[in-house]
Amino acid sequence: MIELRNVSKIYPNGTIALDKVNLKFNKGDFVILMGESGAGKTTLLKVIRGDEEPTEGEVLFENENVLKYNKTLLRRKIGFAFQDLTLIEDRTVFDNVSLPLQFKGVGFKEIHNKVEGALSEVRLRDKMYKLVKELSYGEKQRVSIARALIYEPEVLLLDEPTGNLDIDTARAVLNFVEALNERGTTVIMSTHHLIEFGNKPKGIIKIKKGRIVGKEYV
Amino acid sequence: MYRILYILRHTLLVLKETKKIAIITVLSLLVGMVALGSTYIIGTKLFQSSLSLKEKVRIVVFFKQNLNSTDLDSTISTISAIDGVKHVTVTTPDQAKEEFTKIFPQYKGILDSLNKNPLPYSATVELSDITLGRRISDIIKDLQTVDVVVFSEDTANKINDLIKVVYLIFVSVMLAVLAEFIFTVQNTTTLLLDYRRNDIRVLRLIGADATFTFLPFILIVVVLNLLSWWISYYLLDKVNALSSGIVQSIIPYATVSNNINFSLTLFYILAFSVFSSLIGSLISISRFRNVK
Repeated sequence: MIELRNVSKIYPNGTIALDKVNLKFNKGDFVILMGESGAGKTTLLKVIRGDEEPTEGEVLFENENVLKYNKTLLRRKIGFAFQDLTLIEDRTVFDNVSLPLQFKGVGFKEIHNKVEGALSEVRLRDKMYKLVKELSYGEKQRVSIARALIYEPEVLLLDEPTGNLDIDTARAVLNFVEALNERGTTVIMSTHHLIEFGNKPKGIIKIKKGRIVGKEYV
Repeated sequence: MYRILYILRHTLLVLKETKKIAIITVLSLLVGMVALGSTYIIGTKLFQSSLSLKEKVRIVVFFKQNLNSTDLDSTISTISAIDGVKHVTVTTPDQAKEEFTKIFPQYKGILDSLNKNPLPYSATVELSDITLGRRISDIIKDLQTVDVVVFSEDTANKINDLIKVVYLIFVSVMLAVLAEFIFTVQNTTTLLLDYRRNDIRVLRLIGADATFTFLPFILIVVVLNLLSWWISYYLLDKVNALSSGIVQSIIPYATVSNNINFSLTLFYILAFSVFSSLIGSLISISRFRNVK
């Protein structure tokens, strides 16, 4: 489904974020990316989604180079929740979470039900009509996760989704992600909490200084 | 169906969030529309009125005394046939006397006391092209039945120059106002897009298509144009009412024409404004398509 072939990413300041990475993800995978801060996890996720262009190598999605793939379609198929949140601060939580359903033309009632459901999962149901700018960073992160989960994309990329969440909320979010995975969504997630919570990923990839240093598949 | 409603909702939300920019845009567009409309209304009237001065430039021909009607008819036919002559009006000695006594009633007694009317036949020659006036006047002078020809070349040349200057000023100001208008529209659209750059970035990142992302901005520009046009209607109506007086004060001897179709002018301004706004928006949007 997703294949990285000899992918390297060197930023203009000379930082090597990814160094000849070769990886393959199949449909329905639940893979954890583990590594220290600055190891290249976020860059790897962004490269998969076509948000960052590799300096070398290529990323294939459904056997097509992501850079040549229809960008709108690719972004609809690959959902994300990154640390830079990408929310519209002066809109309500409801507006932000419902956006992916709005441009798909889903009806009012269905949108309302789905948003309510997703916000309940991330424990933000009571803040549905608050402006995003009035929320804390952790709450904003949950809004971002709710938006990524709401339209059930084919692939879900999550960058440290539980980093700023309390244990109960983190567990609820991860359970929801696991339920999505069981329904067929491929999940690639960078985190180091998962194992502590007892969830069992289908694969763990260890990354250090942009290189893949270990792969474990269940 | 739902998509259209969501797009309209986004349009309203963006409009609500960009109130200040919307007000500035409306004002800029209003200034542009009023400048464009005023220039068109006053410029057209000024140009049409300056053209009316042309008709006031004529050649006056005084024939020799005791001219018989056969010679008069033949001379008039000759003058009428000259290239550049539009129309010839003959004044008989009796008509001339009547007009003279109307203007100078104090000389009526003297004229009546004479045995014979001393005024000759005369003709007023209207020209289709005042630049040919000198040549026509020379041809008429050479006719044997003609005594005196009066043609003020200086006045004709001045009027001709005035028309050229008015035309040049009119066209230059129109072009300058058009350029300012397009510049304003494009800048305000860019300002609007730049202000909501984060929305565009977020929408693009989560997979919104170009229509969903950018149509609200185009709709806003159209709405702001309509709003400006509605206000400009009242201002331009005042300008239209005052314009005849302004033109008359600039060219006092001209006949001020009122041939402007005000509704059509307003429609053209709206059409032009919306068209240039859409072009301006699309140029601006093309810069924001791949915003990161």
